Amino acid sequence: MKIALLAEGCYPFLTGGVSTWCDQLIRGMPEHTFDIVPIVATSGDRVVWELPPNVGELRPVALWDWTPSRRRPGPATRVTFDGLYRSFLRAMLDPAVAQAWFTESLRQMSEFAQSGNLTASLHTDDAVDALVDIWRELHPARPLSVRDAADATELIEHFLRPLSAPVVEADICHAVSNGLPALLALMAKWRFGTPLVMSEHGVYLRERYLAWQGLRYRWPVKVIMVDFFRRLCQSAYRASDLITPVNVYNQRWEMEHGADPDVISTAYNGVSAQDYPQAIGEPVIPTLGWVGRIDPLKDLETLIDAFALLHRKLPTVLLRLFGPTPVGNEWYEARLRLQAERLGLARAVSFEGPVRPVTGAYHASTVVALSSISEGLPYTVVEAMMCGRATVSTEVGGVPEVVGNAGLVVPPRDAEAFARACEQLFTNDTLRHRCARAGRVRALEFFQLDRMLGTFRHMYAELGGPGLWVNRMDLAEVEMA
Amino acid sequence: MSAPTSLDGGAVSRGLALHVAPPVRLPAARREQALERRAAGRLVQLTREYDQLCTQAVDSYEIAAGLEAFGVSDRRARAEYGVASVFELAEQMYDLVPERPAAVEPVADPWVRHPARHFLRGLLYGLPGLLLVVALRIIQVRLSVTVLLAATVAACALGQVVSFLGHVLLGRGEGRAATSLMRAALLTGAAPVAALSVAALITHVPTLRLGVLAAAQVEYLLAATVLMVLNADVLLLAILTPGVALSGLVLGGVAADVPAKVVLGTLGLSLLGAVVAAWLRLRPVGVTSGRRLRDALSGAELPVSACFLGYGGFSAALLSFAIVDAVTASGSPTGPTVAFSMLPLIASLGCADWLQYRLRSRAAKAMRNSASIAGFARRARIELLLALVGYAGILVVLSTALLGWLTGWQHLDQVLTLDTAGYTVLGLGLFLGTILMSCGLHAIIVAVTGTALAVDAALRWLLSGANGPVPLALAHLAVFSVLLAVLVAVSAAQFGRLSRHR
Repeated sequence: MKIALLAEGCYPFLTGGVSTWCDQLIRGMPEHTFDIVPIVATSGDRVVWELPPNVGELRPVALWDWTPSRRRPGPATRVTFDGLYRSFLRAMLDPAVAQAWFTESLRQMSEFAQSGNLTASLHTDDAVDALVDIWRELHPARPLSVRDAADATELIEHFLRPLSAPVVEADICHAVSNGLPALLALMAKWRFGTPLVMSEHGVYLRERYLAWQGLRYRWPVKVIMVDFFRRLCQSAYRASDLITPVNVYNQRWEMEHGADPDVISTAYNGVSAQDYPQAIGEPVIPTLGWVGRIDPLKDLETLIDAFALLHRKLPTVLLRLFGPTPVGNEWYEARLRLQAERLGLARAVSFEGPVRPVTGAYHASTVVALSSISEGLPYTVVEAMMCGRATVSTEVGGVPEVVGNAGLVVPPRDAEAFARACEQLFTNDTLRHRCARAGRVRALEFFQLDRMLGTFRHMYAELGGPGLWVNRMDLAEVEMA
Repeated sequence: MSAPTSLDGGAVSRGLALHVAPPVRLPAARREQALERRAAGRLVQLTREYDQLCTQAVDSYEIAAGLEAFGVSDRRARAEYGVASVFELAEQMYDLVPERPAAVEPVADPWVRHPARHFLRGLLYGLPGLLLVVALRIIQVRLSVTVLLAATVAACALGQVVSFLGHVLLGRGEGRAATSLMRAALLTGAAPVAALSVAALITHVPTLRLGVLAAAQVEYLLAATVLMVLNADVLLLAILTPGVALSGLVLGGVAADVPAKVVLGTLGLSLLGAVVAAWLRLRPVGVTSGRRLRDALSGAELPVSACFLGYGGFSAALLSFAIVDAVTASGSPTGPTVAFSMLPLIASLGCADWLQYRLRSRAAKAMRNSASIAGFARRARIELLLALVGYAGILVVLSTALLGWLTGWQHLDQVLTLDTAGYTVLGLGLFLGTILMSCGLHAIIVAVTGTALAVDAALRWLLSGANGPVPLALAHLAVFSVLLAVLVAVSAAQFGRLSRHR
C-alpha cells in the first residue's frame, strides 16, 4: 500500500519525539511504501535522518521560501480570486458561519491554488482590501489598520502555500498532526477521496495557542490567525476517517472541535525493549537527567528553577540536559544558560547536546525529569521507564497515563513541587528503586513498539487497499468529465 | 509534545511577530493589582491568578490551553470550581474579564535611524571619490582612467549584490550564511589583487601596476560594503580618515610637495585597513547560528541579485558620464572641473539617504494609520512627492551655490553648467530608482536605467564628431531628463501600492 505521511517541522528534518515516531512507523512497516510530504520552513532545510528503504518520495513543501515580486494576475483571475477569497475570509472570521461553509470555501481556494496563482493573488492590494472590508463588516467599532491587514494577509499567504503544492496521490494520507499537514490531506480527499488518518501527539490547536502566548502579534492579526487555525483544525477533524491521539486525555480537545468520537482511537507510542536495556547500577554522582529538544514547550526555565531549589538541599546533584537545540531556538538556549548562570549553577547545569545512543543519557541519569507544559505521550518518559529509571514529570497530556504509579507527577510550571518530588527520589533510595522497577514493568506491558505498529497495521488494512488511489483518480477524472 | 511548528520562525524573522515572555501566574500578593477590580469569588480569584492569560486571550480556548499548561485539569476544574471541564471554566473566565488590552506594537520601525547616521553614510559614499580623484591626478594616464572607471563600475555592481544578499541573509537570521557570503566576496576580490601584485613585482610591467590599483579599488568597495552591511560605519570612517585628510591637503595644494609614493601608500593603507577591518568584523557575526550559505539561499534570490548587479553597474556607468567625456576626444576640461560638477550630488548623498529612509518610515506610518487602501495610497504618494521635491531643492541649491562659487556669477562655463545640471537631474532619477528598487521594482528599474545608459552611449558615439562638447552635454541632460520623467511616472503608479511596501 502507498501511504503519504504528512508532517510539519519534524521528520526527517529534525530530531525529537514525533520524528522518532515517524521513523519507527516507516521502518516498522516495510510492506508499505511511504511518501513523505513534510511542511518545512524553507527548502534549504537539511534532512537529518537516514531515510528507510521503503520511503518512496520526499517532497517538502516550504512555507517561508522567499519569493520575489510577481507579475500581477490578469483582471479575470483577480475577479475570480476576489470572490473566492472574500467568501473564504467571511467563513473564517464570522463565528455565525457554519463550519461546512469554511470547508467548502477552503476547497475552492485549493482549486484556485492549483492554477498556480494563489501566491501572486495574495500579494495584491485587492487581497488586503478584501480583509479590511470583511473585518469592517464584522467589527465596525474596531477598524483594522492597513498594516494589520497586510501582515495578516502575508501570514495567510504563507500558511496557504501547501494548497499550491501538487495534490498527494496515495492510498492513505496519514497526517502526523492537524493543521497544515492536514491541509494536504484535505486536498487529496477532495480530489481523489483518499482516506485521512490523523495522529495527534500534542494537540495541534492547543500548542498553537501556547505558541501565541510566547509570540506577540498585534491584536487583530492574532485574532485572524486564531480564527484561521481553529477553522482549519475543525475542518480537518470533521474530515478525518480516523483520529489516533497518542493518549486519552487529548481526545477532549478533538471532540470539542468537532471530531466524531466514533473515529477516535488512542494509539500509544512504544519503544523497542531491546533498544532500551535496563540500566545496571546508578551514576556515581547523583544526576538529574533531561532528554529532549531545547524548546520553550519543554519549560526548561521551571526545571532550572526547580534544580536551583534542589541544589540548595543536595549540592552534589548535577543537572544534565541532553538534546539538540533546533535552528531558530538558539535564543532560548541562551536564555537558559543565562538563567543558570544567574542562579550560580553554571557548573552544575550542563548542556550536553545530542547523544547517540540516547540510552547513554538515561543510564547517565539517576532520575529523569520532564518539565513540559504540553505533551502527547512523551518518549522521554517511556524510554526512561524502559531503561529502569525513576521519573519526575509534569501533569500534561498523556503523562499521567504513561507514568501511572511508576513515577512522580507534579503540576506544570511549579518549580517548588518539582524540586520536592526530585528531592524525594534522590533521598529515598527505596522509593526511587521501586519506581524504577515499576516503570520498567509498565513500559514492557503497555508501551512496546510492536503494539503500536500492530495498531497502525490494522488501521491501514481497514481503510485502504493497494493501488486504490489509482482507482480513485480514475473516478475523479470521470466525475470531472 | 507534537512536532515543532515551522510557522513561527518565518513570522518572527519577517518582523510579523516577536518572542515575548509567556504569561505568568501571579503570586497571591500581586493578584489585587490585576488591571480591573473584579467581584469576589473563587472564579474571580482564578482570573486574578491568571490575569495576563485572561487579558491577552482572544478566545476562551486560549485560556483553556493556558490553564492546562499550568496544570489545571478537568479533574481540578470539577473539584474546585464545580464546572464540567477546563473548557467550561475557561469560557466563564473569558466572559468574566471585562476588557482586553491591545497588544503592544511588536516591532520598531526599521526605517528610523539617527539623522547623523545618514549623513555619515553620505560621507562614506562620497569620500572614496576624493581618493579616486587624487589617484587619477597622480597617475595622469588616459588609459588608467578608463580602467579605473571600469573597475568602479564593476565594484559598484558587485557591492550592490553583496549588500542585497548580506542584508537578506542577516534579516533572516542566517548569520553563518551571511558571514560565508561576505567572506567569499572579500576573498574573491583579494585574489586578483594578490595575483596582480605578485606579477607586477616579478615583471615590473607598468600596466600590471595599474591592474593592481583597479583590483584594489574593487576590493575596497567590497570591504566597505561589508562594513556598512554590518553597520560599522564609524569604523570605516576612521579607516578612511588618513587617506581623506591627505587627499584634501593634496587637492588644496597644501601638501603638493608630498611624494606621490607617499600619497599612494596612504591611500593603499586605507584600502587595506578596510579589508582587514571587514574580515575581522565578520568573525563574531554568528558563525554558529543559522545554516550554510547554500542552504540559506533558495535560488529565488538570484534573479534579484542580477537586477542589483545591473542597477549598481548601470548607475555607476551613468554617473561617470562627465569623466568619460573628459577622457574621450570631446575636449571637455579634465581634472578638478569634472570633479566639481559631481560635487553637489556627492554632497547630497547623506540627505538622499535620510530622505529615502524618512519616506519609507512615513509610508510605514501611513500603513499603520490608514483604514483603507485608497487612504494609504494617497498618503504614500504625497510623501513621495514631498521627498522628491525636498531632494530636488537640496540639489538645486547646492548646484547653484557651486556654480556661483566657481564663476563668481559672471562667466558661466557652458559645459560645466550643463554637466552640473545633468548630475542634478541624474541624481534625482537615481534617488527615485533606489527607492523603487527597495520597494521590489527590480526588473523595470534595471531596464529603464540600462536603456538610459545605452541611449547615452549611442548618443556619445553619434556626437563624437560634433563641434565642441556642448551638444554632448545637452544630449546627456536630455537622456537624464527622460530617465527622470519615466521614473517619476513609474513611482506615481507604483509607490501608492501597498504590495510595494510589504
